Amino acid sequence: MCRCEDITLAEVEECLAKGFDDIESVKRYTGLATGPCQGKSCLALCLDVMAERLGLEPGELALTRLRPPVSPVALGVLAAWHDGKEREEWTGEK
Amino acid sequence: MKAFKPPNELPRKASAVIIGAGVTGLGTAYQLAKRGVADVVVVDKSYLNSGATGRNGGGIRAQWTTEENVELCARSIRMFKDLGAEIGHNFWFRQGGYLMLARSERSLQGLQKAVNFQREHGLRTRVISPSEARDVMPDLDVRANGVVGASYNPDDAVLFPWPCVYGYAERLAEMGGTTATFTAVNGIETRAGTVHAVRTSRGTIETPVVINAAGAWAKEVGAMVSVDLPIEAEKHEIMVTEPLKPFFDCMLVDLATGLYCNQTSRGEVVGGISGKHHERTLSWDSSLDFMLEYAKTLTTLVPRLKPVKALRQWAGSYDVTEDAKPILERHASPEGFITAAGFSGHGFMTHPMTNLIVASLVLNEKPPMDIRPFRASRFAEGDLRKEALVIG
Repeated sequence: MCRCEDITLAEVEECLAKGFDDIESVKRYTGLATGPCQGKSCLALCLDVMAERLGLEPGELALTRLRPPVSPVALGVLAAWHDGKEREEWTGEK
Repeated sequence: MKAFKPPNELPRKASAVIIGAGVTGLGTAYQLAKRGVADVVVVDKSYLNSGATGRNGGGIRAQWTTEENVELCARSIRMFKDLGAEIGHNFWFRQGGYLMLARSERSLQGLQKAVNFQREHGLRTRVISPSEARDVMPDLDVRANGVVGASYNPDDAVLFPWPCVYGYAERLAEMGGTTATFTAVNGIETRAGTVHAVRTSRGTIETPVVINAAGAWAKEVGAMVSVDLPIEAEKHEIMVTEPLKPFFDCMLVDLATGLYCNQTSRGEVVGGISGKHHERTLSWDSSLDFMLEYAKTLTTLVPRLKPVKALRQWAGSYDVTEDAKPILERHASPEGFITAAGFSGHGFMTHPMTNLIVASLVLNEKPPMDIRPFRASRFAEGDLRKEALVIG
């Protein structure tokens, strides 16, 4: 289910069987959605499976708290931004 | 066994109710159950690992400047070695040491004083040269950053905090205890000056003992029984990179900026920085300022990390006190009310010993170490010895 962290459906099912039934707990117990894609390829699928097991509609389950950055950014780019170089290049302002 | 599912109905009586299911609360419940006090209920208003236990950087160090903190941590480190096997969850405890960088002669003199103090108290900390620091932390740019020396204790460690909580909750459930997540505490009832019951969103539990292990919310819990706790919530931020092949073992600490980072056992570099981001608030909003300042400082110290990508940032709360030491106290009033909070950013690393101390307070036994430095009255008495080496 989570290709970044190599988490299988069986592991998510084991997690649910142990009594977790919210996505924040499933994320922490399995490590799902903590890899490079940060859940973009697995969270919807996981919610779908959880909803089915819990007898809910996927929309009734909350997402995990979404965390910055939206996409991975190199530390060097962030450091350059700190120096104002990026800001100046993009906005013309120092 | 559903150790992690909150029961629909809570036990109506318990030997102790613990508020807060972090390592302080759950670990204490586990220690009590091991001693035969199994009918303990741990309540938490949110999910497991939602508070500081699940948000900290996993650093474990004994390099402190007060006797009580050195003892608390050094003995905790010895306990951590066997704890994973005991609770049945591997939390990747790794003794790669803490490397603390000094960038001025004055800073190095301070470190030397701390090292002398720690060696007198049995630690293996030593002052090392910039080139030795580079041996511990590969690719550290000692010249550009003006590193003049460092302290290093090879016995300090890092670990992954999350599995600890699961281990405690599972073993507690096996021994008959209860962990009730998503259960809010609405009030604490007293009778004739003694704790009588805890009112929760899932019902009322009669109990002679209440332990306040609520971390950043400890002040609110204390107020429920008119115990004024000088503990404030303080926001701290942290971030993690994509995973890399392991290339350093230590926790790197830069005293000049308060930056700290380590490489987790699954390869990510995780860390934070001191500075202007520490608002006294329970907010967990992430800030761009933090991300940029951390990235700038880290890539200046270790330029090779420039192409490595930042994956995720988050925030959590320290439960801070004025002298950066916890309050561990069985209060005179109401009788049966115990506080274990105010850890000021080092609650996780001290929790194995803290748990034994708090269990001794519940059982009215002699604590395993002198706990006078942690008494609640020290603030009113003005008898504070502030811990100097607080980082992050």
